[in-house]
Amino acid sequence: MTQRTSHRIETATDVETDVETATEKKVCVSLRSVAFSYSSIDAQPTTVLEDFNLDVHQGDFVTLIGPSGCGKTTLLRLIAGLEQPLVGDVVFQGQHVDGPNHKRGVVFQQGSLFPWLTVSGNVAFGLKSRGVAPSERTSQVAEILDLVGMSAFAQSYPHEISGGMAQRVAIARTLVNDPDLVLLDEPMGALDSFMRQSLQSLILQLHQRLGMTMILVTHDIDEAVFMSDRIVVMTSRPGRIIESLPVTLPERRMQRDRSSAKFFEIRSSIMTLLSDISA
Amino acid sequence: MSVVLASRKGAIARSRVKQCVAWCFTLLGFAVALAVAIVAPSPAKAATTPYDLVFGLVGSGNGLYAFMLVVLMVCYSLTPIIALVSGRKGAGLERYLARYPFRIAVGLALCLWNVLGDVFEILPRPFFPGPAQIAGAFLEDSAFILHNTLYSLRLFAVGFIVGVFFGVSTGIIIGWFAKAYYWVFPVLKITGVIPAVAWMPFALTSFPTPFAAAAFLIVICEWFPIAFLTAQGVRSTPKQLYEAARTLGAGQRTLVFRVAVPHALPNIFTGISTANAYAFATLVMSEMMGQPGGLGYYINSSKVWSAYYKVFAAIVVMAILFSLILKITERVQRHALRWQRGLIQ
Repeated sequence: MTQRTSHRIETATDVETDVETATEKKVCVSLRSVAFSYSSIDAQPTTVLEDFNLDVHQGDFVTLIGPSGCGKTTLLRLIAGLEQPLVGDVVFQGQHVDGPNHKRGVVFQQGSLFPWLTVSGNVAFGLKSRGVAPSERTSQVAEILDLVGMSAFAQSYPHEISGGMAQRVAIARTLVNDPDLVLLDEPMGALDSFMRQSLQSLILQLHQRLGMTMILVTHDIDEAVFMSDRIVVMTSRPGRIIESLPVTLPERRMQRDRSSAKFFEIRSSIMTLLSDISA
Repeated sequence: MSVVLASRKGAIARSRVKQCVAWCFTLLGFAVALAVAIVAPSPAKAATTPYDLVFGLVGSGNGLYAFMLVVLMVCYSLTPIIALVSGRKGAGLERYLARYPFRIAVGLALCLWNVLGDVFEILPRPFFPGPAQIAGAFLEDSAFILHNTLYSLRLFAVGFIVGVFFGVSTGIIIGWFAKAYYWVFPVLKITGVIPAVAWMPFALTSFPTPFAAAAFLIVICEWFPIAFLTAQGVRSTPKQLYEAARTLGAGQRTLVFRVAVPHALPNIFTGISTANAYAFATLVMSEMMGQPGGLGYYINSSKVWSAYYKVFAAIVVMAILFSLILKITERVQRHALRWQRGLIQ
C-alpha cells in the first residue's frame, strides 16, 4: 500500500531509490487521495486539493514549495488535523488523523504566541494543558529555552521581544511537547534575511539533534534547498505535486553549501519547474 | 574642572531652594485656611457644639476642621520630607512639588468656603454649610455614619461579587456558544439599557429583605455591561491562538479558560469599571428608597431634619469610599493586565 502510493507520486524521480528508502524508513505521515475545498456562501466552492497523495518518511525534512494558492498551507493544516479532508485519508503513524494532537506540532507564521503569557509561560502551555507536574514543567521549559537560546528572555512578554525571538519561542513551545512531527508554516516568512538565516540554521540543528520529522511550507527557493532532504514542488488550482526532488547536498548543512554548485543546480531546476507553472 | 564642579554644586543648591519654595507653596493654601479657621471660628451651632472624644479630649466641628487641615499639610509634606531625609533626589519629587498650584487652589477654596459658609454664614442656610459644620456632623453622628458606611460597603460588596461572577460567566457562555449568543445577546442588549432602579418595585416585592432587593439591583448593574463586554472579548479571540493551543494539546476547557478568558480580560476590566459607575448610583438611589441603612438612607433621614451639613458629610464619605473602590479596581487591573504594559499606551 505504502509502496503503491509513493510510486504514484514519485513518477518523475528515480523510482528505484525511493522504494529502497521506503523499505528501510518507516512512513511517518501519508495522505491518500485527499481532496479538499473551501466552501463559500455566495460563490462556487474552491477546490484546493484533488486526489492528492504524499508520503513523508520518519526523520525526513520535507519542504512543500509552490505558487501561492497551491494549497501547501492547507496540506499542512490537514496533517495537523486543523482541517478534515472532504475525500481521502490522512494517516499519521498508522493512525487516521481526526484532530490536532501535540505529537504533531505546528509552528505558525507569526503572532501565535499568547500575549498574556511570558516566554516561559508560552512554552509551558502545552505541558500544563496535558497535566505535567509543575516541577517537571519548569525543568523541561528551562532546557528547551536553553536549546533555542532564549533563556535570558524567559520572563519577557511576547511584545517585548523581536519577531525572530518570538519564532524561536514558538519553536520551543512546539518542541517541548516532544512531537514526532513538526509542521512549519512559513515560520520565517516575516523575518529579515539575517534573522531568517539564523533561524534556518537553528531549525536544522534541532532537526539533526532531536531527529523528528519536519515538514516546511515556504515560497523561498533558497530556504527550501538549504533545509530539505526532499522538496515537493506543487502547482495550483487544484494543488498537485509536479515534482518531488531529493536534495543531494551533504547531510550536515553548512552556510557554505548555499554557494555550492550542487545548490545552484537544484535551485535552478526548481526555478524552471515553477516558471513552467506560471507560463 | 573645579569650575564645573562649583557650577554643578550651585545648580543643586538652586534646585534645593526651588524645591523648598515649591513645598512651601504646596502648604500655603492650607496654611491660610488653617489661620482663618483658628482666628475666626464658626459661630454655627453645628460647628461649636463640643463632643467627648477619646482619651478625655473634647472637640467641636471647628476643631476637627482645623485638625483635618493639619493632617492634610502633614500628608503633603510626607513625600518631600522622606526625599530630603533619604537624600534621594529624583524626577519623582520634582514632579510632586510641581503640582503645587492645584493644592494652593484647594486650600484657598476651602478657606473661602469656610469664610462664606461658617464664619459669616452668607451662603443660603441651612442648605450650604461650611466645612467646619460638616466636620461637626462627623463628631455628632460618628457611630451612625460609620454604621451606614459599613452598610453601604456591605451592600456594594455583595452586589459586586455576585454581579461580576454572573457577568463573567454569562459573558463566557454567550461568547463561546454561538447558540447562546444568538438567543441571549439580543435580550442582553435590550435589558442592558434599562436603568437598574427601574426594577426596584419588582425587586422590593420579590425579595425577602430590602437588603437582598438592593443587592439584586447592584447585581443587575454589574451583570449586563460585564457580560456584554466579556462576550465580545471571547468572540474576538484570534482563531490562530485557538489553533496554536489545539496543536499544543489543549482541550475544550483549556481553550475557554486559558485562551478565551485571558484574551477577554481587558474587556472584562472595562466592563467592571463601567459597571461600577452605574452601581454607585444605584446603590445610593436604592438606599434612598426603602433601605434600613446606608449612606443614601443617612442622606434621606438627615434631609428630613434639614440637617444639610450631615448630607454633605455623607457626600464626603461617598467621595472617599467610591474613589477608594475605583483605585483598588485600577490596581488589580494594572496587575492582571501587566502583560499589556508597553503594548497599549
